[in-house]
Amino acid sequence: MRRNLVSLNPSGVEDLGMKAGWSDCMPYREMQPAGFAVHHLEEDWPRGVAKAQDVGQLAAEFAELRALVVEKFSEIQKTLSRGKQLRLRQHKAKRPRQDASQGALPFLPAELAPISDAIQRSETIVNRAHDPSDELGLTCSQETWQRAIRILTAHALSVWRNARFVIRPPVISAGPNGSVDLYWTAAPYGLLLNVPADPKQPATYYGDDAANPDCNRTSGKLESTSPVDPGVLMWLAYTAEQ
Amino acid sequence: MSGHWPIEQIPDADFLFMRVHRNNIQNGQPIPGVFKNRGEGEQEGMSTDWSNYSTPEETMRRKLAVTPAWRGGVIQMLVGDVRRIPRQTVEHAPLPDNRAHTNVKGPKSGSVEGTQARYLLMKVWRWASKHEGDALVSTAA
Repeated sequence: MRRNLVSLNPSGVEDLGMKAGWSDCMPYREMQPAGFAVHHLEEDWPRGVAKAQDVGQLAAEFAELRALVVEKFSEIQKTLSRGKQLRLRQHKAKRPRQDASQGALPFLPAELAPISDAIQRSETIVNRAHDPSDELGLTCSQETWQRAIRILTAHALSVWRNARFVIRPPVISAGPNGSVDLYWTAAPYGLLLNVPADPKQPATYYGDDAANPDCNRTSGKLESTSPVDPGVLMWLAYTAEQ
Repeated sequence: MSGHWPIEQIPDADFLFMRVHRNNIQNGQPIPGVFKNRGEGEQEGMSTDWSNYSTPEETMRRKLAVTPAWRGGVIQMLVGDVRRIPRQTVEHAPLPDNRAHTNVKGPKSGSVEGTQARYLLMKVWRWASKHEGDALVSTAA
């Protein structure tokens, strides 16, 4: 029944009858084939010998261009690889210094510059050349030095973040048996922290208050599981510049 | 007896002298690492000279005689101060060519006691003489 209400317009679009008689108002247009007329160029080309000569010439020009591109590409590749080697060499030359200081050193705020300076100055104790006149020959390995620096920076940053105090820079020196000493003196407080050469052994520390050394002192071992030690932290906060 | 010389008791009021190479001086002070035991067995200890048989200059000259390139200074420590440090003992250990030789025995590394000993030794030393250029500069008290 409903179908009877529907009429088809010439374009085939269904009119649902809502606007009955709508197609009657539109001009009639015959359906055109879709797309554009294609003009086939090949049909206009002259056939025969002339066409073969053009193709041959084009092929020769293409081969010439291809050779030129390959040559230029090869030059570019050589230049790039030279630059890469140069960059790599420069990087290698700087690498030991980066490993020695920046590699072990987390970013320290500008306020902790005295700590950074002390760390940089202390690099001389690492693998120090043997001096025949120095019977002690104190030196340490890169690994032990880096471990000591990590302990120092962790404590300096912790005091800075929690209390906004800048700890005093310690004397960083080689200790007995390849160990590294961090030594603070800020009367009346002082602290010595020793980082042994064996990475499995804990660092040990001892400090006291010269005004009351029997009652006010600190000592212990640094657990490897904790980056900072509360006893050391408290003592370093005492030695901080007020 | 040790060699040619008898072993004697050292009074608390006397001094011990010890050489410090210039490599181990920072900011005009010896680093804590200079307080280190050397030797093995009975002779293990921190080597010093007893003031009863040596002066700071003699302690230095003994070294310069065998190592002319040596540069540094001599520190002094009161024997009583050293003995008050836990687990540290002062023992006269004369050598055939050095009657003053004395060992400070006890741990100086590898433990909290060792770290404590070196920390406390850092509080009791004083310069006895420094070697500046080719001249000995006495600073003995």
